Amino acid sequence: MVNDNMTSQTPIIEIQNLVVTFGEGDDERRAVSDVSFSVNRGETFGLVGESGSGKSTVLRAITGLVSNQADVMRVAGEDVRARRGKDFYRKVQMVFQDPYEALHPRHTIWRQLMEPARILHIPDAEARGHAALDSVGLSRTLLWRYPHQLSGGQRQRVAIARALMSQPDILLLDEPTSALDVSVQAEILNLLCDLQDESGLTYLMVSHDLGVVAHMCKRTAVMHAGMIVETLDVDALINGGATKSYTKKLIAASEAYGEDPRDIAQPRASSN
Amino acid sequence: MDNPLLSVRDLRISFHGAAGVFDAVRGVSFDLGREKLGIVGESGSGKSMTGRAIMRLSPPAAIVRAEHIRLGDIDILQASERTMDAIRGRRIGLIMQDPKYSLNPVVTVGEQIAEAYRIHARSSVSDARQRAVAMLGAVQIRDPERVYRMYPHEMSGGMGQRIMIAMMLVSEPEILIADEATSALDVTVRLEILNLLNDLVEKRGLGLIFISHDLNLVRRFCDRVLIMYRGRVVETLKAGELDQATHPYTRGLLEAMPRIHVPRKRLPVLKRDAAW
Ligand SMILES: Nc1ncnc2c1ncn2[C@@H]1O[C@H](COP(=O)(O)OP(=O)(O)OP(=O)(O)O)[C@@H](O)[C@H]1O
Ligand SMILES: Nc1ncnc2c1ncn2[C@@H]1O[C@H](COP(=O)(O)OP(=O)(O)OP(=O)(O)O)[C@@H](O)[C@H]1O
Ligand SMILES: [Mg+2]
Ligand SMILES: [Mg+2]
Repeated sequence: MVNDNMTSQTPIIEIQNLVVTFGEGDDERRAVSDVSFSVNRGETFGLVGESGSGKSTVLRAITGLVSNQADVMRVAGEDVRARRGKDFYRKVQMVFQDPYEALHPRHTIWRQLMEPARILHIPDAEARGHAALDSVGLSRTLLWRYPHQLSGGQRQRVAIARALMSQPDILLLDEPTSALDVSVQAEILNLLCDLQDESGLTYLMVSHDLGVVAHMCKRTAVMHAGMIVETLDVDALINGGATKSYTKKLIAASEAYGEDPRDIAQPRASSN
Repeated sequence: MDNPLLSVRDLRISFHGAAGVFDAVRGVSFDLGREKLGIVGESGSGKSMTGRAIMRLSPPAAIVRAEHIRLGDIDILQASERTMDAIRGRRIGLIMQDPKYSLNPVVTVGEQIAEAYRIHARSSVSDARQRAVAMLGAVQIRDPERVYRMYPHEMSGGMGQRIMIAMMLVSEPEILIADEATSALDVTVRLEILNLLNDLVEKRGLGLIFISHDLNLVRRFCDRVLIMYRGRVVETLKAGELDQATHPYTRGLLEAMPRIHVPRKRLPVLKRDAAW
């Protein structure tokens, strides 16, 4: 759950009317259309919604991986519409939906962690590297393996460890635990909560698992076809407070192949 | 089980490296009928390796042994490469955990599905195209005609998964191994895909191996479930009776699940016992 002491009312991510288009001519298509939201320092903000609705594209726009237009785009104190300062990638790190995308296929796990540390001039890189791997539960026997020699969940944890190396202020998390069994997922989610308690990290988190969203986030935006259809408190989302038909459909489907109905019968105690 | 579609006995997979021998799979046995068999388990416990061994697609460094892996009267481990070519994709389909990396990056996704159909049905190019577009629609891809012409890198995570599902289903295999095939799908699309798979099991007698981390989904969707831990099957249950699991690993999994309506400050974690 979110620790209220650490959340301040100053937005650390502020986005207004973000637009991303792909393709040219007849094939031109908006993947993200007038998306606006803001996230406070120390908050965990969720991004849920339809597959292909633009969630990953929003995260990529924030890190500058896809070109975009926006009226306002302030991240970690910088206007990132023009260009990102040297310090940006130390302050803002992303865990990709597809860990292969972030990992170099011909670098060992150890080198995956050390290379960005070198580029970003991170002090005590080796000590941090070991600590990061321990914290995501990866054995040191894996250090000299290559990404293709790991299981899916092991790769995902390498990507998380790598993002933690620079001790960022903001983590953009794209389905960070979707390839993990629930016991390892619990360890990672607890780790994220601890880091937030200790150093006020801010998370922008994409997830399809409403249980994870309910556990981690206080507020969430719901995306559909490139747009945010509504932004609401997670408490409201799971207690029938959704107003838009797409959001209602999402909740209904989640219950159809989702939680044990006996859980749903229990009232949700108030958080904190 | 009488006349299983697939029978796996005492499967063992190991890797020999500089650091010694690593046993990734340590004696896995199961039979698959015309059913939905779930496999859940610890990250790194050998689920994907088991799936790949059934297709004889293990990494080159892997040493695979088994009493048998039998598909009808073919022993997969003894079969010729030609026999395997006829089996892969046609009798057994495998949806890999990293779909985008299993697709050909320079061919449009639609052409890849059409090609899979053409090989299977020996159909004309235009029939195959039509069939591929219909298949894209069946897996809930919006605007299938347009997506047909797109390349794998232009797909979102969940679209990539659905392209793989479409490609495997279009050649109507007898057995489908789905390795985390719905993990990147939102719940509404996931529901449609599960209904599609369920129809194939019930109406066409497909045998489905469904590898997943989602315990709620497996409990509701599958018939039986194998729980894997460190290369072994530690427990086999009727999916609906997952709650009554007795193995401490399975109990720990059930505990560790975040619940929408039962908020907790911290999630319980497992104490892994070397003796499991
Ligand atoms: N490089 C690209 N070129 C063309 N279109 C793209 C590209 N990347 C993404 N798209 C399109 O943009 C849309 C949004 O994709 P995005 O990856 O942001 O979806 P998502 O919400 O993350 O979905 P998922 O939950 O399935 O991962 C999709 O229709 C996708 O096809
Ligand atoms: N090429 C390889 N060399 C050495 N070990 C390997 C290789 N490929 C996989 N492994 C190891 O084999 C074990 C089983 O891997 P597998 O991919 O089957 O796990 P999994 O159960 O599918 O896990 P996940 O849920 O994380 O995907 C893992 O511990 C992995 O590190
Ligand atoms: Mg995505
Ligand atoms: Mg796997």
